[in-house]
Amino acid sequence: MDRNETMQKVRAFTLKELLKNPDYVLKNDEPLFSSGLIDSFAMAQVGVFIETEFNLYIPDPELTVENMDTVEQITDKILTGLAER
Amino acid sequence: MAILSLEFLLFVLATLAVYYMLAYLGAPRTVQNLILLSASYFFYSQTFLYYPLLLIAITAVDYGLAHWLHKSKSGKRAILRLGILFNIGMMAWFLIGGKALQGMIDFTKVNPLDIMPLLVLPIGMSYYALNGISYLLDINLRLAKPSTNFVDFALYLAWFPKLLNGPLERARKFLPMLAEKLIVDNETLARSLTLILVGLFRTAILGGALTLLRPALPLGDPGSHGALVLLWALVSYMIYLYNQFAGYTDIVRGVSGLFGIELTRNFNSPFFSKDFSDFWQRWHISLSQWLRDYIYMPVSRAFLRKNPSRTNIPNLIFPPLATMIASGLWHSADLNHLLWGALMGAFIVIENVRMLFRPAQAQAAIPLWRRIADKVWLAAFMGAATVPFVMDLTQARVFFRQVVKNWDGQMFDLRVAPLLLLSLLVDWIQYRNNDELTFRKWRVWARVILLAAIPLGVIVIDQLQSAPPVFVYP
Repeated sequence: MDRNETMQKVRAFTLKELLKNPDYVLKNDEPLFSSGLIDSFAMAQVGVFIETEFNLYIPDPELTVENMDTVEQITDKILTGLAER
Repeated sequence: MAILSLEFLLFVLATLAVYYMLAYLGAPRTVQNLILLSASYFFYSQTFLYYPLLLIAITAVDYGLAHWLHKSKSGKRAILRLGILFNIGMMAWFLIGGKALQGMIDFTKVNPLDIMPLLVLPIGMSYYALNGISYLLDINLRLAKPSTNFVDFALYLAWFPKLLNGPLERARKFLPMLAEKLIVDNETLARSLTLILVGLFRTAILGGALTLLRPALPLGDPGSHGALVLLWALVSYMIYLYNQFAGYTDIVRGVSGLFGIELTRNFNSPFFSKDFSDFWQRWHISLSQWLRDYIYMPVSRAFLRKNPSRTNIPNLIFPPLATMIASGLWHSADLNHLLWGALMGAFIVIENVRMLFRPAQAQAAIPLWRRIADKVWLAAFMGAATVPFVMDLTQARVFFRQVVKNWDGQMFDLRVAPLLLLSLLVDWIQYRNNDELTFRKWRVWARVILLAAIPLGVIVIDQLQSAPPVFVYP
């Protein structure tokens, strides 16, 4: 799976499930959690989404705002995890 | 050994002298660490002679379990459960044993410490149990490998600056520092000394002055005071506790920094939080992160795997409640802390539900009135939830009854107002500059005044107190 395809899946999930607003103009480098756009309690949803969509388990201590604050960062974390598997 | 004492100062200076001399002579890092470990055990033995022995035993068990867990192919889950049970069991034994002991003292009027020292909760036990658990969990998650150096691992659990009141550290961050060559450059030295000064200002000057004025005294007898006095006492108590704890942590982080070992920041201007979630990222940060990583997230994910919808009722309710009740019981195994945890959990549930009905909006785009309303709501709830944290349930009931019914015009102690404002001002300066050591950037004359005024203030307050305060949390 290439970076673009992964990023599109992350974007779609973020808009539909986290922001609940498919029309929101979201930039790929826009801070999601640190800006208050999404509360950090939603991080667990991101973890489960990655598990189900990419069959990849990211340990809870790594699901942090520092690691996963933007669509780009989430995408990179997924790609790194898949490459290390 | 209280950290605000001459004994502690001499102990730190002596340990530093030996540590630096060994580094200068080119001694291997393991030898330096052995000295730090011996110093830590010596420090711990000053509370109770047998405590280091207990800590060595717990360390040996966690060390062995970690290696067993790492090597095991099929029994990982069972070993992990055993390890968690062992650490929680030790903590529970002493927490419940401590209560039983207190009951015995109250009932018999005889102090049974001499015959049952094994029942007294060792200070710091709650911290090194959580450190042990996170170590085992990280190994299970393959985030860390078991330490092959027993001295380093023992030092991770026993490091004296963090031994009694934290902050909680993760082995995967802490252990690599013990393997590196000792480097304490001028920048680290300056940062560490500034942290100690800020900590002294908070705990010895602000905390000490508040101790002298005793503004929280009415909380001990809520039935005899009106609403205004009680609310003022509650606010004073919160600011007092914050300065004691944050100041203590700053001092121990500074002391640790002098040895080239960086400890986690534990407080970040919590009274300027945007919302509840933000508050827990600013108050007792190392514990909040521990709870998040090892309770909230795993429980949340377990529920979400069954039903991925965030609006599903169990997903909304159980993870926050389980997390905060565990936090309450960690603070103390009694009903009022259980209630405190449940209230905190309920607040997160309410916040989560509110977030579901709010359109996605960056913090900066939220109207001012709503930001103010959020802060008022946060302050009111935190204040109410603090009541069962401070007093037992009977007194808490009296407190709330008085606050609702008794607005008799009793005047509160205004003398503490400047201290509370000063505390908030220090926080605001740090918050506004997004730098806890922003004071280092002040002009030279201002820094000289601070350098002279803080030690002087510490001495003055110390002279006014009968004994140096000993801070223990929880």
